[in-house]
Amino acid sequence: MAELKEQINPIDLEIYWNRLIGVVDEAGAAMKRTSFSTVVRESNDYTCVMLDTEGALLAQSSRSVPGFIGTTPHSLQHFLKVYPKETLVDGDVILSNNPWIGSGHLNDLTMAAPIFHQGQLIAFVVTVAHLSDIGGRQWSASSSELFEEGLHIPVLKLYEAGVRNDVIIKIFEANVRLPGQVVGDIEAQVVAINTVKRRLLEFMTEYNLGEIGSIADAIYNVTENAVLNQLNTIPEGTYSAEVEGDGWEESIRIRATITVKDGRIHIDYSGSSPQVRYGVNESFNHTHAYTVYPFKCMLAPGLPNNDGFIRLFDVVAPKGTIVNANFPAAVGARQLIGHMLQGVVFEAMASALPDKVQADSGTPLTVLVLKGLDMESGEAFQQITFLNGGIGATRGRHGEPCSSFPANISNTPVEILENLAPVRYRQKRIHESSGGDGEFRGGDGQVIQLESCWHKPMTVALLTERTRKAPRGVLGGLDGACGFVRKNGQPVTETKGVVELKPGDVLEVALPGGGGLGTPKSHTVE
Amino acid sequence: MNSRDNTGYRFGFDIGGTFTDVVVSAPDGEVHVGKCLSQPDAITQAVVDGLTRLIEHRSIPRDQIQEVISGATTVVTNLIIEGKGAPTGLLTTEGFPDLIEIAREMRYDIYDITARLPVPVVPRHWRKEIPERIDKDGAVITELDEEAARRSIEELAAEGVTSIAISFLHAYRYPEHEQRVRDIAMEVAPALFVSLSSEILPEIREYERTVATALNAYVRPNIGDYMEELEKGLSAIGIEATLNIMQSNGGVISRDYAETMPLRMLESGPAAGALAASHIANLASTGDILSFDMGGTTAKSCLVSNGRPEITLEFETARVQRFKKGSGFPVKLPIIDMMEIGAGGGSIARVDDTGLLKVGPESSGAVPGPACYGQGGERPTVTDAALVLGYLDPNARLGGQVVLHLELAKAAIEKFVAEPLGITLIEAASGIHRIVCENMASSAKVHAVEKGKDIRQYTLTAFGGAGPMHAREVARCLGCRQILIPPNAGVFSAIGLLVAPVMTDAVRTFYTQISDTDWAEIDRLYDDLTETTSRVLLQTGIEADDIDFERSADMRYVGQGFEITTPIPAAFGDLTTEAVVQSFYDIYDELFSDHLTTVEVEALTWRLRATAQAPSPPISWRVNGAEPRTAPAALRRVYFPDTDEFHDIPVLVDTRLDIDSVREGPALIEQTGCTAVVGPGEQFTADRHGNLLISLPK
Repeated sequence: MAELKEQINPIDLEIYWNRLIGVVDEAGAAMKRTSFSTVVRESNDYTCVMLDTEGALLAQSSRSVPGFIGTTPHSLQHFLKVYPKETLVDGDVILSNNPWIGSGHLNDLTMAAPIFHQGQLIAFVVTVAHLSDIGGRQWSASSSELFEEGLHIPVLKLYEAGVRNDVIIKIFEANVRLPGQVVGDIEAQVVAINTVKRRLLEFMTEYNLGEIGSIADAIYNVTENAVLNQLNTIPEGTYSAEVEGDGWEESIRIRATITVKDGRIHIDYSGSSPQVRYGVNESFNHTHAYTVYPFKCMLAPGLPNNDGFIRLFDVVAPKGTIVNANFPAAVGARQLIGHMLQGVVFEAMASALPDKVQADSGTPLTVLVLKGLDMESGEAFQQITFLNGGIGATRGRHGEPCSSFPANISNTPVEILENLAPVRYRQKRIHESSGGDGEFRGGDGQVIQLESCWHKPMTVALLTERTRKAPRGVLGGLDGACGFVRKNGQPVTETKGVVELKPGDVLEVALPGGGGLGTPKSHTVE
Repeated sequence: MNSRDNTGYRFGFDIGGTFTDVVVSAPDGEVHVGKCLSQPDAITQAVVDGLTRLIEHRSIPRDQIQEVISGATTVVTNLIIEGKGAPTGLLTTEGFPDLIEIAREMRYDIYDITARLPVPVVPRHWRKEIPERIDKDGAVITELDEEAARRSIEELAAEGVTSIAISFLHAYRYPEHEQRVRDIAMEVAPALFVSLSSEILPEIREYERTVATALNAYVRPNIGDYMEELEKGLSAIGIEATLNIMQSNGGVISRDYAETMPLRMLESGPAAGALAASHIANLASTGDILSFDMGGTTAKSCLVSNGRPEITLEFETARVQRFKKGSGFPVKLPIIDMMEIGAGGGSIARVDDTGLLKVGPESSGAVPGPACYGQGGERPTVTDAALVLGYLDPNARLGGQVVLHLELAKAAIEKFVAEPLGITLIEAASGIHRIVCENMASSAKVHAVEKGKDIRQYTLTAFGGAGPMHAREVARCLGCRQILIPPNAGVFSAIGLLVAPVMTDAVRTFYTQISDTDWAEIDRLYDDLTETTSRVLLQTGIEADDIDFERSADMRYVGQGFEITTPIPAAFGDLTTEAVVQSFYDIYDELFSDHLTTVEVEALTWRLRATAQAPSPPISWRVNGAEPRTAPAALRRVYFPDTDEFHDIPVLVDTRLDIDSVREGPALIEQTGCTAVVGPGEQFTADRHGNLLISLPK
């Protein structure tokens, strides 16, 4: 390492590093602007990264959601098994939406391309974005196997030496509901890939560089050292925790055993529930991302994502469990499990890092899919809307009410939803006192009431959690309140099912509050 | 009398955090500038003092001053940031009291779990729910409960609330309920200030509309006081000119209108800077420019394409973390699109926990300031690096007062940068300079891509105290080929006040798919907007014939979440589905280089901008402030990162350059308050407007 320091002075390294991140950020901005997918544009559900020739993560666009931390190296490995790197030429673009190769569900399309400079392979670029549609049943948890969830594209070349394989495009067009938008989304990813290529080559020319391997190693080293400075403050040992979610017929359990030893962190999910026959199962990549995410928050919130951070973690998720399901398990709503992983990690680490953890949040977010079809007139609509619960407390900060965590997905404004679907909100207000009490209180959830204004019965598919198992407080803080679902004032028991609303019926949904942190004042002996 | 026919003197002033800049244009187009310290406790006093000094110094007849333009950069912002606005109440539709707290449910930093959100300006106990409901088409579903409204207003008034915001769902389609509640408020408590969402921001999206209305209500009483105080102050020194107010959209408006819409004054100072830059670029015929204003704490840049600064609807105020998007309150009013980053002369350099050198966003501020000011600042800053590298004159006095200490700058860089990194003093100073320039360039690059522009085609137009000194390195990082440095670059922003047109914007939300739009209805909508905006502009003392109108609409493909502002044909015969869709495709191509024809297009919100250009703008720019200046040494040793060595280069004074003769760099060109740097291999020339143009080699 000392040797590397002599090769690249710290000033140049800072400039090179910023420039490489600038390259992927610029490409990310280009993709976001050209994409049609609402979740890409409003919720940053995309990523754009540069990897070195060995496939290690070098630079990642700054604004992406946590679900992509460190997933792209795994994806690229799978791609290179099909198309070995020696066989690749300039202008090749490989793609797949396989959930086990990419980032956990079919909607996310992963694309990769080699970058050559003076005839040599110098880097890879990978982009991932959530497509506007992928056919199948539409985004839900109700499938029982992958085949119901949409079009599955294996590892294929979309471009071969710069020539597009239009067969793939035609297959997409024939299998999705919004072919124009989906092809636009795919093209947006190609735009991003070309942006990275062009800008990286300009950078190489400007600084007269032949390769970027030594810059990459220097970046990994300074990152690793900075993370180790924090990591080494954690007492070595084994920490564990278990959280429960509502699940379907029976509750689900996620158990994590975390071992901190020799400057590494090892997370083992043995003891977690087996995979289920609904679309909430996780693939390993997505589990990995949401497992290292809370450590990123605790140890290195300000550092850019790269291999220097990721290499310090080993994640073990036994096959056939809900955190690493076997093909062809349904995975469409895998975020329902993925978003709960932060809770188990934070709780496990609470005794070791009491000033850094956050109590569990009123997460995952609630998704409502509103649908109607009038067979006689042919009139139809479908709209998805998102709702967020309260965030857990951290030391020094009460949790924020109604905020997305750990993903970052905004709500649909009341007035917009009322224009897009025949419903009317009766209320949308803070779910008072739903945050868990504590020295620092959890954030409150929210309560909404939706009235159907349609002339026919409409259906609402519910994706809710934490209606029976509350988000837990930590370090003596109390649990947040559970959410609930009611129709015309009566409890709905199938909180992941479909409810029918006749004209004038009112659906009420409450979101859970976050957990508290520290013993509440009222419980302290004065 | 027409206040803008250019027969008299016109004054502009910009109240900033540290300085208040004052400018005046004479009927013959000559411009004078002045600068004085701001007085936070008596903000209008600095203005009156500055004006008085200029008037006396230049013997300006007071009765010939026809217009005074206020650019109060910091007044509105500070009220919000410091929480010093009025006790404010909010009336909402029953069931929705918490919309301003629930916000958009997003976090602005996905990794920082300690990040806080801004606290709403109306606390929960002053948010009252009123039974009433309007549907998306503007039909009344629940009648307004007038008694409940009356009771709520009485309660709020009794608790000391002096200003209220009224924001009902879908009020942009049916403002009558809000208007009726205002009438009730006027009966119950005539002294209350009332702001209606249907007037402040009559467009769809309840959170953004409600926040804008609440913020407007929050600052309104104090802004009224500010304007009264200003008028009294002017009157006391014998000035009875028309008072107009600079807005964030780059136009000025009457004092009376601004008083009811104070939110439109946010960030009007930087907006003036971009306007000044686009004006000078038009004079110098440089084409598209990137205006680059680098001061003590921040650098602000703005793309000016086809002679017009970019406009955005995505501005935020009162950010919890100043440079973090999403950490403030959204203000969805048209505003000149400034990209601001924490890079200025005072930005502090440090070695972080990765062992690498970082510069900013932390700033040494005005006090203690950079180490070389000798005011107790210990940490090295961007200014210290510039001094060590020779860009700043070690014998100069900044602002005529601050003596620069080269030894202190060297010591600070040595201790905090060179030693920890094991590099030489010069490597460290050059590193600070390169990194701050690289930071500014990289954010400008991403910004340009977001706007679908190629930044390399733009001329970097640099001003502000630190702008001309850093322009060269920034231009090199951006790949720009030309730099323009205006005269009086240190006080350049305020000149924008004098070239600003009179302007106002109006909006109306009307959701429609383009293929089945009733264009006669849209035309009627525009008739209304035309009448409203004309009425507002005429208050500034212009003629109706001088007003130009420009139509646009927020359009998108069905299913998209973002809208694109699309020009709309003005003549009724041209208003057809085909023409409007084509206009959308054209703008889509410009931004994204391609468009779809298979997806339906829809429009949400229709906009009208009414503008009346400023009178023939100031032409003679080469007038200096009152500061005396020592003649610089003929040669100075200056370091350039690209040659990695010191050069003995000539120091020239901008006012003594021959016009239109091309000279070779390297050279330093000194103006009052700033220095332009020309590097080896570059050429420079001065034009007849006093601009300095620098060409960079390919």
